[in-house]
Amino acid sequence: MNNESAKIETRDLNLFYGTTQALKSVSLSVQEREVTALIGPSGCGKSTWLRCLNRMNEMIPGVSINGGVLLDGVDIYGKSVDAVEVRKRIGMIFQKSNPFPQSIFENIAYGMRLQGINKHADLHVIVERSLRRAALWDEVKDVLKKSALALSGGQQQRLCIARALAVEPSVLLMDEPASALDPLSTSKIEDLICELKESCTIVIVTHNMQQAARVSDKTAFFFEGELIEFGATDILFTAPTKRKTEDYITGRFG
Amino acid sequence: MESYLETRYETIKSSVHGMADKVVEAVLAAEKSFETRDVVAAQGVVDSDVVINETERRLDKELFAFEALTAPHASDLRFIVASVRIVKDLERIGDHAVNIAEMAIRANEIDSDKKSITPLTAQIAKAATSMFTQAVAAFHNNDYDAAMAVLVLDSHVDALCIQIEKEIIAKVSGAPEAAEALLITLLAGREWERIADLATNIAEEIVFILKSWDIKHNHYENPEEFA
Ligand SMILES: Nc1ncnc2c1ncn2[C@@H]1O[C@H](COP(=O)(O)OP(=O)(O)O)[C@@H](O)[C@H]1O
Ligand SMILES: [Mg+2]
Repeated sequence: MNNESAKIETRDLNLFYGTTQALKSVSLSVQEREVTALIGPSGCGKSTWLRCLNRMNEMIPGVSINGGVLLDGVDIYGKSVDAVEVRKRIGMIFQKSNPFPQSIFENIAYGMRLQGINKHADLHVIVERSLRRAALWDEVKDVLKKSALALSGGQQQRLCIARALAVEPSVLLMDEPASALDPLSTSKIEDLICELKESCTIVIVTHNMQQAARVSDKTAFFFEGELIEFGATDILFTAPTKRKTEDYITGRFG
Repeated sequence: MESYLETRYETIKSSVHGMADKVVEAVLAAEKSFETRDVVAAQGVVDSDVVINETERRLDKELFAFEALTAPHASDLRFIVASVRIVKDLERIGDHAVNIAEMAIRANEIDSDKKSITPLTAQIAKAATSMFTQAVAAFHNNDYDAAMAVLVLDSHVDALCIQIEKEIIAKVSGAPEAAEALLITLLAGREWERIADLATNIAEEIVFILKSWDIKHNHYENPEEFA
């Protein structure tokens, strides 16, 4: 599954939490401008694998990792690579939206200020562009000064997406981005994913198999830390090749 | 423990299988009624068609609802999609059985000493019936080999059908007074040919359910299996 044209790729990736192995020799490559969905039962390692892609696991004490994680062919765990730089290029969205307790505007502008952009006009351009890309602009353009916490759950999640987009990442990782949302907000996030894949490579972890089927080009099925099957979503959901995949997606597990 | 979804799936599966069994009964009765001019059996086939038709309508609804409400995947999805088509084929086979039964009734009126029946008539009826019953058995048993075995029999039935046509045409010129009875024999042969063809469709659907291959119209495309 190693692939020269992969946007992001892991090769024989192993991860241990202390002595517990959570990823077992996972080789998986994500193509540019595709949506790749990760499915599998709770605890199978989806989030762990996702966090490896932007070096978030190394912040967890006791974690050891071996194998390769390549972004545009370069190992992001290489000595010369700065984790902060990696996270700028690879944005992450979590299940629970986590806006700062500040204004809508400031939620996006904050990161920009850290990068040394301080002129209001410049910030405004970025805030507007990010909110538009996250399909939130029309709903909040008149209330940019309002607290982000006053937004609905679905809006908060799109604000977090806007915040992630502000730094123009080339990869967006989403860990169950819609699992706390109602169907309408969920479908907005799904529409957004389909729009964003024009400019971003997206990896999404989801518990909702229909969601994986709807939004992704490729699907990876994980089980007990192993990648069991990976392939085109339409094939995986209609004619999987592995017994375990079949049992999982038909609900005959356990 | 069987899950709620599995129970629901098994229920709809046994309904589709049940319809197949009903149609097998009709076809067996049609075969017998034509050979033996058993008008009671023939009338039974005609009368039972309404049940088959209603079953088709009910299953259409149930399969559609199952798909919408449970969003099945993989082999479950293939079963549902294939069953929609199988149910349609079964209903058509039921119609052909009725046609044969009606021909048996008419033939009994005009040719009670069975002069229009030939060994080929019995052969095609037997061959088509056995293709269909084998296809249904393969459906019940999830038997890929049995489904594939049905497919190779179709050309035999086609050949018999052509032979019957030739035989009847030759006979009609020598016995114009028996023309209607002979024509019935020819048309019955055509009905059996249709049944065999639909049995082939069902066998192909079984292969789709079991292997996910679309082998219709001689697309034996899976390399490992058909190379
Ligand atoms: N921070 C952690 N410390 C120790 N074990 C963890 C930690 N995070 C996850 N795990 C364990 O690693 C395995 C994979 O977890 P995770 O990647 O969260 O699975 P998933 O996202 O598929 O539900 C689980 O057994 C989980 O308990
Ligand atoms: Mg997780």
